[in-house]
Amino acid sequence: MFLTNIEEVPGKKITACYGVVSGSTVRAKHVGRDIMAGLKNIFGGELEGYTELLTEAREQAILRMQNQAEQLGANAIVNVRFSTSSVTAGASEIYIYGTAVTVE
Amino acid sequence: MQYHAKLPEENPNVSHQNPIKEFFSLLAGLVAIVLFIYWILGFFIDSAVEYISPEMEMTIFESLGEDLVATDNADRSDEFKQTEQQMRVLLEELTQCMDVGYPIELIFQESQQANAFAAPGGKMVVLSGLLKHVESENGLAFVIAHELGHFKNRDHLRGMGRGVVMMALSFLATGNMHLSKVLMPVNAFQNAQFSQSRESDADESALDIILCHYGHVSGATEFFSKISHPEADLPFTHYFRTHLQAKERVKAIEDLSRDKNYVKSEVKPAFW
Amino acid sequence: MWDLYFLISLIITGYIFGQIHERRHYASLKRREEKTIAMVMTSSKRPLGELDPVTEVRLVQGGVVISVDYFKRIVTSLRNFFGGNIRGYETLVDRARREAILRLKESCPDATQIVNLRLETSSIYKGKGNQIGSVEVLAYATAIYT
Repeated sequence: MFLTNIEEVPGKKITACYGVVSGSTVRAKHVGRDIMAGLKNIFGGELEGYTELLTEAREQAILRMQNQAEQLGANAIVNVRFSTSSVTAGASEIYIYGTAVTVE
Repeated sequence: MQYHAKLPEENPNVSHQNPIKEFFSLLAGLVAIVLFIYWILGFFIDSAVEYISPEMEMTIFESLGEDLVATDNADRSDEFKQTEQQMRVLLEELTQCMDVGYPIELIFQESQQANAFAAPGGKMVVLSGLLKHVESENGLAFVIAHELGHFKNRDHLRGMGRGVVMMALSFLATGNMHLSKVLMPVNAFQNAQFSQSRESDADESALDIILCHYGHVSGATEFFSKISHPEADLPFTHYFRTHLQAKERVKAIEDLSRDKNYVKSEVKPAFW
Repeated sequence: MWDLYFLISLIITGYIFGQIHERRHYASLKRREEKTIAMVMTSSKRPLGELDPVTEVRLVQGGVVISVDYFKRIVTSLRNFFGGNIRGYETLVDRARREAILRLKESCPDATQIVNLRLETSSIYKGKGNQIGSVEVLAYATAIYT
């Protein structure tokens, strides 16, 4: 499935459109990551635990959006946008939305 | 270009899992971890207590003890002070039978309650309500000897250490004051089980002291027989009691005296 | 002990009412989505296909704030210890998002096309510590009337 964040899939023509599809996950960290982050706050550096957490969450959100698009019969999603926010202490929500289309 | 209006049949953005099952499985996991950590910490605290020498304890808690048992000498009658003095003599005699390693100061306090407790720093507090429920010197001696047993086993240090650590752990684990209250019964349960076994040990030490001092163990269970009254129990509350119920306690002490073939004889009359 | 009983009753109340409200909300969402399914909506910047002469262009939006119940909050605290997907909050933001989009659609029922849909999410603090209990979703787009 094609995913782009521009208006079209370059080199292909859009033949049908199915509306907006979206995927979201809300993920929590666990105590281990929290403790590592606390230590990093003292020493500085990349919080690998959190990066990993958010990467996994993003991948899951993308999969869910593709799933929804497939259910509608699309084979590409254009104009994809991401959004991250914290909805509760220690957890973050990732959602991704775009327009599902069929391209040829 | 065509616009196809359609709704997806299945919603992939939510997990399909029973929330109640999830809640209980998470809670069970957390309780199991807390119990396990408590168990491990128990070992560490017990070995740490061995290393705190009585002298160390005295210096640490000297200042604390002053505030804990502030007595106002002006209000006390001469009779009251005399009884306290006689109790201190009794304590001194009992200490000959079991040395706890540091001097114990007995403080007699006016109170409606019938109780006695051991405070860190070598202070034993006896409340005057107790005297209404014992008829002989032996009965009082058993209560004092029981507290001496606690001092000898450093139970107050162990209990304090465990209590503080568990509260801190529950709060850290959940990061939420409200949720740590959910773990309260778990804490209470562990605390009670630990406490009950300590109390039995103290009872056993007390019996030995009494035997050593008087030559017999009559009068030991006086206090508990007198205060024994059946309490309405919700199911399972007996798991959370820090002491055994009075009746059970009397029975346990009697069983112990029988097992060790301790004799019974005449009791000494009360000196108050 | 009374503290604990109070807590348990709060959790049970939260669970019961939360489930009732969630089910009703999902049913309402499904109904309204079916009604407005014919409206053309995309997140692209350009309108689809050829348009008849445009008469009106409007910025439209829809917003909603939804809160969690006590049961979900307790489960989240537990989850924060072990990690993983927080199911309760997933349904929360899913409902909030769909509700916001529906309100947007309902505010312009005669529009020919709705383009450049964007969504913003933010959390509303309760104030005490970091107990965030509600989620606000804002959806905005351009409605084209021909």
